[in-house]
Amino acid sequence: MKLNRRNFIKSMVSSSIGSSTARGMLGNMTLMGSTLASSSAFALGGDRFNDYKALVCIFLHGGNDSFNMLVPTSNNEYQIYKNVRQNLAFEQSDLLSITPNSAVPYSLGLPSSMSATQQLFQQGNLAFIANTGTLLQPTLKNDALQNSVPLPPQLFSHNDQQKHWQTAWPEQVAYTGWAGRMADLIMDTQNPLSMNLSLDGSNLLQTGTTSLPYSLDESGVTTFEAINPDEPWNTHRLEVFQQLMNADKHILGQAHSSIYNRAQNNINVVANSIENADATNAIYPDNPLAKKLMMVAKLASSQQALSHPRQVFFVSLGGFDTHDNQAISHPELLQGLSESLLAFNNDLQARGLANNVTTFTMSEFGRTLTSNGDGTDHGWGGHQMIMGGAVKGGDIYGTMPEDLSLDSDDDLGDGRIIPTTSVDQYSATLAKWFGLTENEITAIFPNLSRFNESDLGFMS
Amino acid sequence: MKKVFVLLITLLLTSCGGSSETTTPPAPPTPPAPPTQAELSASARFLNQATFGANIAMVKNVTNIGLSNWLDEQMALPTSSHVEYLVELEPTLNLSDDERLKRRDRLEAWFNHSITAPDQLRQRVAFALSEIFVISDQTTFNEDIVGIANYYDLLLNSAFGNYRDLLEHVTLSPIMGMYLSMLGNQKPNEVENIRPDENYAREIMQLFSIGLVELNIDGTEVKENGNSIPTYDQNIIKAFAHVYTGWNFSGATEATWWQFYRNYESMEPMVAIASFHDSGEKPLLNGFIVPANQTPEQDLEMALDNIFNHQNVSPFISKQLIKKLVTSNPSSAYVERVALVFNDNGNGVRGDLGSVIKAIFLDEEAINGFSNDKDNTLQTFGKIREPIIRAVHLWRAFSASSPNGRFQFDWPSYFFAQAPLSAPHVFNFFSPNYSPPGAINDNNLIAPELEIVTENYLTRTSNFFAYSTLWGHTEFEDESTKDERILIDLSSLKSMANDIDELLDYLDMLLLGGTMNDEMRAILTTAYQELNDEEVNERLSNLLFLIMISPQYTVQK
Repeated sequence: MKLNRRNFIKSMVSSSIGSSTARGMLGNMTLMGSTLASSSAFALGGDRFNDYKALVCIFLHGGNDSFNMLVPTSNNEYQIYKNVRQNLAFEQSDLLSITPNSAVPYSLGLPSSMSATQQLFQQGNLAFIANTGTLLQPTLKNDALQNSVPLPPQLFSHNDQQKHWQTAWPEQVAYTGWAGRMADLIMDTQNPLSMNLSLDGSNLLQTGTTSLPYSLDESGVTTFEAINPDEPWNTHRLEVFQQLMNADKHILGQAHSSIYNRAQNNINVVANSIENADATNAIYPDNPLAKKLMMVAKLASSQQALSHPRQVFFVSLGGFDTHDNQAISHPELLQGLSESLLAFNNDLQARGLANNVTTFTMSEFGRTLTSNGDGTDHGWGGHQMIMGGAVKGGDIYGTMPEDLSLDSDDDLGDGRIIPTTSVDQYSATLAKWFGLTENEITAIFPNLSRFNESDLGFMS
Repeated sequence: MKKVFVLLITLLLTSCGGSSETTTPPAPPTPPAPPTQAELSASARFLNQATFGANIAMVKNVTNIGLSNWLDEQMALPTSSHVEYLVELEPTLNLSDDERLKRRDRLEAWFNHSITAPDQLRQRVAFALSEIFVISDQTTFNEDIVGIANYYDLLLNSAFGNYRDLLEHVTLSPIMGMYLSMLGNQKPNEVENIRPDENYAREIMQLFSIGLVELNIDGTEVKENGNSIPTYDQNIIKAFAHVYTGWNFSGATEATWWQFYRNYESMEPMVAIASFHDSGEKPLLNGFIVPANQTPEQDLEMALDNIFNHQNVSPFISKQLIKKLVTSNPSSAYVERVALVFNDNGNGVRGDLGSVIKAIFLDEEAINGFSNDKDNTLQTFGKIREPIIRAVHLWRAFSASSPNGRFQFDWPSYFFAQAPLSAPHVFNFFSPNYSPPGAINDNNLIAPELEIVTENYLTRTSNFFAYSTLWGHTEFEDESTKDERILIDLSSLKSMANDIDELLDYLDMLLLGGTMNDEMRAILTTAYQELNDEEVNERLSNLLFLIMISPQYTVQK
């Protein structure tokens, strides 16, 4: 039996029964050989789940200034905020108040462009997770300043921090994302269509060792014009094309052909299921994110036709790298996001899928609290949103910074806020709801055991 | 044994034999041997690396004069300017007072020059540069069509100059200034908690010059106890951010600093206004310190020199260019050979891009990479052709034209997930290090261009070639005469239509640079003969379609 990483992951899962931490397992490479034999006994396949669940990741590309998304409204904390953020601060009287179920250290509000989110929060359909970010272990200010704990590689670099968010495993040599590793473990290998569906092309989150996302876009899938197996006049051409692919001996060409084969094997079933999906009365705003979420809702309601008891969707929204013009552009971005979320939630409710689908945001980093004149620069921790019927909504999880004053214990400098909750904890909470076992979660999030809580409690 | 391309030989013999009929002929000169199929193929393979794709005229020219001379000739050609194309186009469009040039017009300039411009080397290298020094129309200045084209001209004009000049031109470009927000960046204001913008400071180093970690001259990472070493930290970013303060549109003054629209000027380099510049000292790379109280211009000169002289620049830029032009997985020796030329062009000059470009294309690995690789059970040399370049190659190879006389093609983003100067962000359409899971990743290889080849886009690209070959040729019966379709000309193939060997020799040479193996040739031969009863245009366009979507063609070797 040839050793590959898929088997490696599976073997870690099956061997971790009785093993205390994932790190211990990762360090002990000799375990691999001895446990491989048992890996085939691990339950896989389509009959594992008898319910339907989907995760929808909305990746806010560029680094969302989320300390301007969830803003202190208590007088004292607002004044500190206003003093730090200066010309980027929202007026206190413009903020929309929210009333979390649990006690918070100070009251908070949303920008006036986020009334749709306010509604979702107050109705209990949406929660915030405070000050989350990339960490290799719990990190205090002095630790970070003196490098006495390992810090995430290339902090403040877009692509490196995106990788960390999407992989939750920055140390690995080959980058695989946590949703991809989930698919490696739980996906029905008989189904040619991936459980990971992307509306924004290649991404690390959904890239596994053996499983890859299947890409489509807001208009669905494009069908082949001249090599379509359903068209008899294409038959000869298709046969020749297949022969050419078989004759190719180049590693790059073969990878290209495998993408073609994935397309050819799945286009028709996906196209048909989209076509047969019910329409609803949900009204979406006119923006690119909303169009993508509308397609996600259709695909989620087609899950039976696609034979998928579990699905992960990847959708991204760009423009959050607000180095300039932030006072104008950022509220607009938040408004588009907010209204799209509300429409998507309404659509899912109309389809009876609200409890089955959980939507969550990610963004590579927060931004500096200080301004560069008309914008902000790359920060670290930030807040995220989780939405759905299975979310214990109307609440704020994690730890809000004590306040937003510069040079506080939370501030690494210039208002770069040190995260108090890790990407690993946030993602693992979602994975647990998704139906993964403790052992699987331990294997998928090898750094999780370095943090106190593996379940942040925001999912019911 | 492959047959020689007969038509070509005929042409060459005719042109050699045209001496006048004089009285007593001297001893007849030995006519130069006609180029062999292998020689023509080698020229085409070279042109597929160095241009937007081989066409027969250029193949002949390269075969005649040799690679090195051809490169020299190309570098001496004047730039085919995209701005000038737009300036000449605009009066012909009969725009009303409230109409402006549109994105489609800029794309037309790009397709026109990429397909037809004589300075093909320059156009192709500038396209590679546009995917390293990225600006994009997917942003606020998207309607400034000429300004964006002017940035492309900047890359064209700098392609064979010194990298240090290129870095300065890019830095002072107002388009780049807006894209990465150096324009309007101001000195600190402690009262308002304002500090300099770090956007350009970060990306010029991460993406345009030295990268994130220390490199050896051969492009491999320097390791210390198994760990890579970051090239800079946040303090260095901050210091550079302070350097890049005080710059604004040409013509702006201290009084008009804040008046963006009044100042707007995207055709001239940015200028500095000292009162907005931070005058403190600034610790930069490798321990170098910019002293206090200098002018903005002095600070910038020192800072760009500091970056330019960093040891990473030569392997970083050399490897990026090799990957964009020749092969995704160059040997470290190849990278080192080119990087050494970057360090010294032989005359003591650092950063001579013309010499670097020559070193890339004339390297043993670029020339013999395929033949050294072709008998391996799994071949790795080469790169996935960018989808948009496959399209331009088709149109170049088969003398494309349009019924309306222009090259209007508005949908590159839809078909190819890319369009010139239109990336989703400064990290380009695809990462230079993308490694898809599976065999490529398992073998520690990369395939950057595959990042945009998703199922959906592969389907659309395939459909593009269906439209552009099966139905997109001049022989296709169609009533319309003034439409925008870009049509290929199959007439060059028709004389070979009854000889599949000759036909495949020609297509192999022109499209695949002679890399078609016997198995592929046998498959296509059988397939072609099976369609003997079909009409000739259908047989030819079908064959062409199959080659253009084949994995063998998709990989440039």
